Amino acid sequence: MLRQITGEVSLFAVGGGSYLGLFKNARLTLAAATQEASPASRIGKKAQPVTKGSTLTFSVMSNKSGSSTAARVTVKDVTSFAIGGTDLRGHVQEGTLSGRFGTKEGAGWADVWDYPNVTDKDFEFDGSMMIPIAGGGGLVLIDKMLDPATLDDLAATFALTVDGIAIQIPMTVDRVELGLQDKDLQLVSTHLMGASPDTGAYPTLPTATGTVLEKVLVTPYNPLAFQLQSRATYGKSFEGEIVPTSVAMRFRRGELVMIDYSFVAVGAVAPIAA
Amino acid sequence: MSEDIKDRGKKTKAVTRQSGFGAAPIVDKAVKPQADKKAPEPEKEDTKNEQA
Repeated sequence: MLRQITGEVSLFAVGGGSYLGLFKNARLTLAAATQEASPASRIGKKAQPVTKGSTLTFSVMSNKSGSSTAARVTVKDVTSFAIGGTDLRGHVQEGTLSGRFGTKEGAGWADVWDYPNVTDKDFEFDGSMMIPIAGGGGLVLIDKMLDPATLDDLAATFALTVDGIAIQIPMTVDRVELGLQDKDLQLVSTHLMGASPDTGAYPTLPTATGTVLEKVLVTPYNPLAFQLQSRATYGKSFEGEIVPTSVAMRFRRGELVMIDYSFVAVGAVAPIAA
Repeated sequence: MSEDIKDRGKKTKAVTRQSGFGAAPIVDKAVKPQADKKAPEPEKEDTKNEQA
């Protein structure tokens, strides 16, 4: 029996930051797009490669700000959470804040590798709130939907502070569900869609672009460099530039706060130059 | 007082956070990995078997 390579990744850097000590999983996909190229005279299909492209997805933890022991950011480090100004931090079970980034292809005839350009960004939030018997909690979201007089109160600012990093996004409450389950708590599930202002920062916060997360949220159209080496010896190394297609921050009671990234390569992925 | 003296001590460089939510330690220098090593060539016996 041969010993096989395990988690001995020796290099994993994105946008100048090393994720070696923080990533939980990663997947680099190198793929050719193909076009069906068999003649009508044949029943067999023929895949003709026409372009090359690559995607990189990974999930990371975060170290708490200033921690000398590399303590990880957990949901307990969320110090504020509000939708439309209502504090829901004591009543929320779980939630996922996602960013999605649309791309259009920027490669010409001469290019083998895809050159996707980010052309739009959108945010959404999915969450489940409990309902305290004294009222409030998830009921506040139902009240927004029940208001017979106006649509305007469905506009709601999403605001969350985690480990001192404030995230603030103007959004629209587009769905509220009351879930009633046998022998379970009543839950209000909600879905919020992004509502970009006509001018100014979007998201409202953060505005800095120091970390990979901030770069993805604020300036997703700027490609980030990445380097990956699967193992120091007998491994493979890769480098290139990437732009995000999605990011998801997962918050769940009693768990680490995870960030899931999906990127697509801009241009060639190549072995790291020695 | 010149602008330089007045602003001394006030200027702070934009520092990329190395810890905190969404941050990752900075890669100090361009990392040069070892050259990718190829797996050993298969033994010649294998070739013989294929030809047989």
